Amino acid sequence: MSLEEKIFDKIFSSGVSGLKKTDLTKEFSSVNLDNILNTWIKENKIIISKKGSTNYCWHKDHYFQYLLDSDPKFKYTLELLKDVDISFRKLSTSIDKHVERLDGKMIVLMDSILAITTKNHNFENSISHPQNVINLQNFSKDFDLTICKYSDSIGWVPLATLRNDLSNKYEISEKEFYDLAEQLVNENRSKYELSTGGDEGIMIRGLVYGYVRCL
Amino acid sequence: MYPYNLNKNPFPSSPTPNFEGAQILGGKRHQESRNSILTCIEDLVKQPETANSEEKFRIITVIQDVGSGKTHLTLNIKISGTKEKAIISYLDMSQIYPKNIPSIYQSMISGFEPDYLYNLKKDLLYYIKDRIKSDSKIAKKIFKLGFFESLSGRGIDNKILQILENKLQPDLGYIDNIFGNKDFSKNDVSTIKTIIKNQFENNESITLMDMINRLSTLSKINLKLFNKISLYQFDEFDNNEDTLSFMKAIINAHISNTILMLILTPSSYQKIASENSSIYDRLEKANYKIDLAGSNSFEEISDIVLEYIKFYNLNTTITDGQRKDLLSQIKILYEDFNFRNIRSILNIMYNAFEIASNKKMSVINEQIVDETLRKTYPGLKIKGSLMDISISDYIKIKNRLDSSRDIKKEIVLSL
Repeated sequence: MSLEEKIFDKIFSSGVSGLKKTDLTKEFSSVNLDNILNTWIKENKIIISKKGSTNYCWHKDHYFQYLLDSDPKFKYTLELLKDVDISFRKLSTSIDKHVERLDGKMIVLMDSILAITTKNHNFENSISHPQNVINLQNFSKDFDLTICKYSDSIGWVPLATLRNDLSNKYEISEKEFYDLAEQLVNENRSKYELSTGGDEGIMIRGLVYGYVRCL
Repeated sequence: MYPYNLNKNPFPSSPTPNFEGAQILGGKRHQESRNSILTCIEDLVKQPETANSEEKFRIITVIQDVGSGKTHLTLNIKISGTKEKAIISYLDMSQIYPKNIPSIYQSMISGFEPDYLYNLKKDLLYYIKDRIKSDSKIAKKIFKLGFFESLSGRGIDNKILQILENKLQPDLGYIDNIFGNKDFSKNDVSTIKTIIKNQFENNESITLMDMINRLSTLSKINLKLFNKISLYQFDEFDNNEDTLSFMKAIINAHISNTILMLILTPSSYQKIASENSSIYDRLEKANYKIDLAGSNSFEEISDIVLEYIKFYNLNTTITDGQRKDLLSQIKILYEDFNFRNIRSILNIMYNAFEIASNKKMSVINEQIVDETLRKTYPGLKIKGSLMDISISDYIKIKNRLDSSRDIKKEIVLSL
């Protein structure tokens, strides 16, 4: 055992009572005790404090117990800190649970946002120029003109024919065309007449109305 | 009792038209269309005998959407108003299978009244009788009269009865001279013989030309014996290849004193246009294109509903207030529930009248309409509605809104 180890062992074995610095100085006069002790203080291994008017050395673990035994203020403060610690732990557990729940919700939310974004992306891809705003009045005029252009002897025209012409002209998708056509027909029921049949058209009560004419 | 003091439910329970219900024809546009068809028949009847065959042949097309009342109109024409001027055959093309030329021809014949061929045979036998002297040699031979039978005045009549009861077969080898004049050709006489021998309905090994000849002879006989033109109604006319081929042959034959009435949807008409330009061209040149434009409008539908009630309620009339209430509910069914054709509305009305009768209600109100819709169309929602509002509440709110709008209009107009 080295001399330094002996000094440290001496301090440790002194326990809660601590060891007088002067006793150490006497016993280990051959070494620069102050340097050694200062190093350990810096390393937080020992504590040197006054008991009365004399300097004592404690191992850090024992010094804590010494304070508890000798200083009621410290003891009381520690009790308070323990309460604070318990409250903090409880709060922390509660926060953890909330965070966990929020995490779950965030995942769902993120999934939803992702799904909507994907849908919007697909929708945006399905229409050629989403920035276009269709003027219903102009669309109505072209709708009527196209009916006149293609109508048979009693006026019927497949909506698919109108869609083909007007979708190109207005640069709109099939869905946009039928939304506009439905709006137009619903707002002018005395002007237009629909008939079932065809491969595409306006859906009413589960039936495809694929033909239109002006009354 | 049913609402509005009716003894029976005025609306048809059948989802498709039938002869009984077809006697009622409401709606301005349907009545105008009926008048157009009757005008066509009148026009053909008035054609002089000297007119050539092409001038005595007509085509009528009735083109409109499903559920708009085409079949109803067609059946109405068959059962009323034309009995003095036309003999009508009605055939539903959707009921013909296999759909080939012989089966369509067969359906044209069976589309007449059930006793048509029997009456035809009877009239042909009396036609023969009228053209021969009862004691002549020809009479004795055709009707196989014995010596004493030829002496009694009722001899031939008795023999005709026996022939009609299929107890006697006449000797038709002697009728050629009777029919073989300018009115009937050899082909006609041959067809007449098949009718008298009950072989007309036997279509084995019959050619297309034979069919056309037979139809032509029938039209001649109908005119000569009954003084009526022949009208063939082809309901649910479609773009089937055999149907179109047969129709083309009939149209090209210009069968005298005959009208072809073709009933089809715009969709079928478009298919014919794209698949058979030849027959489409002929249909485009139809003499009468009956246009039921607006037949699914609210005005037309409400007029038809009121016509049904009026038909069975001649003594007591529906009051103005009752009519207004009923029509406001039909309008909501039409606009907010998208029941856009007369067939759907009649179905709802039939069920509503049954429910009202069970509840002993004297009128159709919003609760009855609500219950009817919930029973007949479970899960039905108001168009575009996000809230689960009850139908009867919605009808009440809508009617109140409409009446408040009317009041506002009246106030503005009075200022």
